[in-house]
Amino acid sequence: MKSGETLGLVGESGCGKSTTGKAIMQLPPPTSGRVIFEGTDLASLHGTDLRRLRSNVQMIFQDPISSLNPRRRVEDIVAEGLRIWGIGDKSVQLAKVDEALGTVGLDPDTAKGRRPHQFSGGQRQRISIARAVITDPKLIICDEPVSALDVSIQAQILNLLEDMKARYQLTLIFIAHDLAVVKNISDRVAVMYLGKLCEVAPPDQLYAQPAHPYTGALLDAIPVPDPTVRPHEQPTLSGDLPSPVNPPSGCRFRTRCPRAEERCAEEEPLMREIDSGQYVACHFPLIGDTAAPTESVGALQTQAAPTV
Amino acid sequence: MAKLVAKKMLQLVLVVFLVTLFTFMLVRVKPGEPEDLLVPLSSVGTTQEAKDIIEKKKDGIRADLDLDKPLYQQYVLWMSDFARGDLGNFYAVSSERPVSDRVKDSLPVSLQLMIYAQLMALVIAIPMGVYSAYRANRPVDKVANTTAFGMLAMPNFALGLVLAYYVGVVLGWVPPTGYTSPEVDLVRHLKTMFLPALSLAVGQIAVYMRLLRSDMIQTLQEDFILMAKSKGISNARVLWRHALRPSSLTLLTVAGLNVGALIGGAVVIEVVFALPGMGALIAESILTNQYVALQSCVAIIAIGYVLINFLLDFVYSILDPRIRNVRAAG
Amino acid sequence: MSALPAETDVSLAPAGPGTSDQAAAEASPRKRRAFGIGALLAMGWLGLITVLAVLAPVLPLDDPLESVGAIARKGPGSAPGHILGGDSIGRDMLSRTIHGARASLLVGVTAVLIGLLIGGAAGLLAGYFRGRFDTVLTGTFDILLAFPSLVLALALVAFLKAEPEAGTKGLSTVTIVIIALGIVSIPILARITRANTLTWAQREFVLAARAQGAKNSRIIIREVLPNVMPAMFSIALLGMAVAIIAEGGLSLLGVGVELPKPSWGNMIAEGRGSLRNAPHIVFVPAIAIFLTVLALNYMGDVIRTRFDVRESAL
Repeated sequence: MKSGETLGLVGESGCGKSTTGKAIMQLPPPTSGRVIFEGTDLASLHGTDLRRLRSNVQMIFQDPISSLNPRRRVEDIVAEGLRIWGIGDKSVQLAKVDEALGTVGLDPDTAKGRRPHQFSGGQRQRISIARAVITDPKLIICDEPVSALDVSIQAQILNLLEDMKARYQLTLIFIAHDLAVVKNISDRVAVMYLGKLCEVAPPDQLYAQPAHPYTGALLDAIPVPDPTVRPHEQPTLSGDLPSPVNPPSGCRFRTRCPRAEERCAEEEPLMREIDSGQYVACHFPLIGDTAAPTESVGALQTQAAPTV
Repeated sequence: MAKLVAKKMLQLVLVVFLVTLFTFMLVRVKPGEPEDLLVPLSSVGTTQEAKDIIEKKKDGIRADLDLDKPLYQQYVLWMSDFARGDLGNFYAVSSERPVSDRVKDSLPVSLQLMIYAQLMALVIAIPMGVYSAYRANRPVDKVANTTAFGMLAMPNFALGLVLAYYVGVVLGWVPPTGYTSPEVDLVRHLKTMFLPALSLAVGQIAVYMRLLRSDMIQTLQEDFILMAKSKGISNARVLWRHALRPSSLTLLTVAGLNVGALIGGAVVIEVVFALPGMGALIAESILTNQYVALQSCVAIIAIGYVLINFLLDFVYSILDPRIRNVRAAG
Repeated sequence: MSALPAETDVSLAPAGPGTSDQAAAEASPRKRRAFGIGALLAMGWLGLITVLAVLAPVLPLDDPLESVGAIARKGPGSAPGHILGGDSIGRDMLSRTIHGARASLLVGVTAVLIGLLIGGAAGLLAGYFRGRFDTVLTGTFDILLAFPSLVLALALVAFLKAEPEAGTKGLSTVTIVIIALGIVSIPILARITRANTLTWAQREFVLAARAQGAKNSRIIIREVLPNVMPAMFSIALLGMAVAIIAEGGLSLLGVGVELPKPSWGNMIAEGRGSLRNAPHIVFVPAIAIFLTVLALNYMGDVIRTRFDVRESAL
């Protein structure tokens, strides 16, 4: 990941998006694989070093109720990061809390003394963001930060995140199951299936020409706000998600993939660059040399639409 | 199912082992030599002759309790005696009486008391709970609730004494204390057991009533109750047949959890009403330093308690298929 | 013993921590309901007996251990100057009841404090760290819970009641009762604290605190404990009530606080002999226990409803 970029991480529920987010924080450490942050393998860190490193990486959570301690005042919640690391004396901390609350659009004087249950969901996410930025982290992992909010408030929070990113020069990992949300905020989007990345690309490219069949199916599943467009006669994805504990051999998506062939069961596809900036892990991607355009899922869509 | 039974049996054996081990250690680890504790030295005198008698007695006790052997062997020997019904002796200077004789007489008294109390509690609490739920937040319900709350705060022994005074002494309806065996005189037996059972039942009534009430208020809001009502089934039938049934499992669970309180309560109530049960036996054993008897009584009660819980757990998992499946899977 | 409330009120509080979202939906500050009249009465009674018990030695009371003239077995009102009458050997009942409160409250408070400190800490650690520590601890406590609590208390009293060795004084009976009831309360409090800790420790604010680099000790004290506290406190109040009753039970079995020093329990036990002609000797301390237990139970309930305490997973 590049510094200063926003990476969107999408996939259906249960595919390991949140786990990836937590694994980056070593909460808990991943069972395999490595997390390299600014040249350090995080698995090699222990005790204070690991804790210190964590303060460079912050998280914003999905559930605005569960992520704030109901028994503490907003001031204490936001100041906690500073207090843990003993940054500044009391007055410096208070000033920083005020500043952070101000930048997320809350009035510091009224907000500070209150407890989380006195705020709405959107306001709570603002508090979460204030808590995350106060220690000047380099990376913030946003774990579905808007999926529990009303649509009207989602946009506000997304804009706020953008502002924060610019203001604090943050790198963001943005986890979501909603492709539309990810499209607007991300510099690059990574699609995940059963704990493995299957495609990484800039959003425009990804949305215009998905390479992985799974990405194609996901894009198809976005409802089109046009009453003349009939939903697909055939479900684009059938079958249940296989158990992530015991994933299928070879390519993990093959059990539900319309393009699966024998090779997919035997050999796990590797990530390769298929177009500039677009990476895919698939033996038979929807675009490029081996793809047959007539069989693409995208073609199915065009066939289904005229039947109206 | 067989797997579940096997697993539960294994658990049972383990718990019984640990519980008896704990009981055994409690008495053996006690400071002072067991044989010193068992013989009241002062009662014999200080003459040489008396000292000889005491020494001889102590040797006898040492041999009896296998005190010369290592601790684990002592436990095994104690346990195997226990399993064969040899519960040790009451050690006095002049005589030794087997504890099992006393237990044989005491255990039925305690069981009678607990069963009467439990029946009484259910017979009173179920209608009260059902009616309270049906009339939730009306005056009747509020009175019942307040009464139940008061009942919970009344220590059973204090209630027992109040009842013994008013019903037994002032009104003279039943004998205030004492015990009559049902074989001797059944009517008098029931009369003597009435007050102890009631004192013991009152706390349970409050618990069951409150629980049943809250459980049934929830049930009564469910769709299948509405369905039953819309079919024109009478209120009474809806309450008793449709609404009460789902609550029976909860009631059973709580009855199980309450067995411990019931046993503890029975121990005290027996002493209050001079019933010759296990509680009286334990109290006597502690006061006269008969630790062997105490150990056996505590072990019997603990094993009984573990067995009851085991059975209830088992019945529970048979009655509720959801639990059966979850537990079998786990 | 009356049922341990902790064991019985399993499903009386359907509201859990999760339901506070309703409160959250209204952005306006939640108005704290003032305590009702019942709670005020309960707190008033508890405050009164606590003050009386603490001040008993300096209050102008008769000597609780000495007979004060011909008031033996005189009921309340029939002995001028002694509003609660006299006991079986002519000691002032008022004085004995107030001095008895000292022993009874001391037993209740200290036994539960032992349970809270040891059981609460163990439950907190077990629920937070889980794993092997949790398994061992839960297993150990399950063995203690496999005994009916009063029978366990009896066995422990018998264990602690060793004949004093030559030259030493054994533990006082008050201490013995406190230790025994304290040990009995440990697994109960541990279990409830653990269950509550489990639900709170899984919440995302705990994860957030770890993400900020907080140490486990800081997270337990600052994030988890404040949320588990109401449950612990509510159970502690109920536990005190149970301990006060248990002391009475032990007294009736002859192993409570030793006479002539009064406790409510041993006053009842002693008064049993005069029940026929002087029932007030039993009734006065019985009413004192009843009111105190009622007040403690009530306050426990108030705290529980106020803080949405969940007692699941018992």
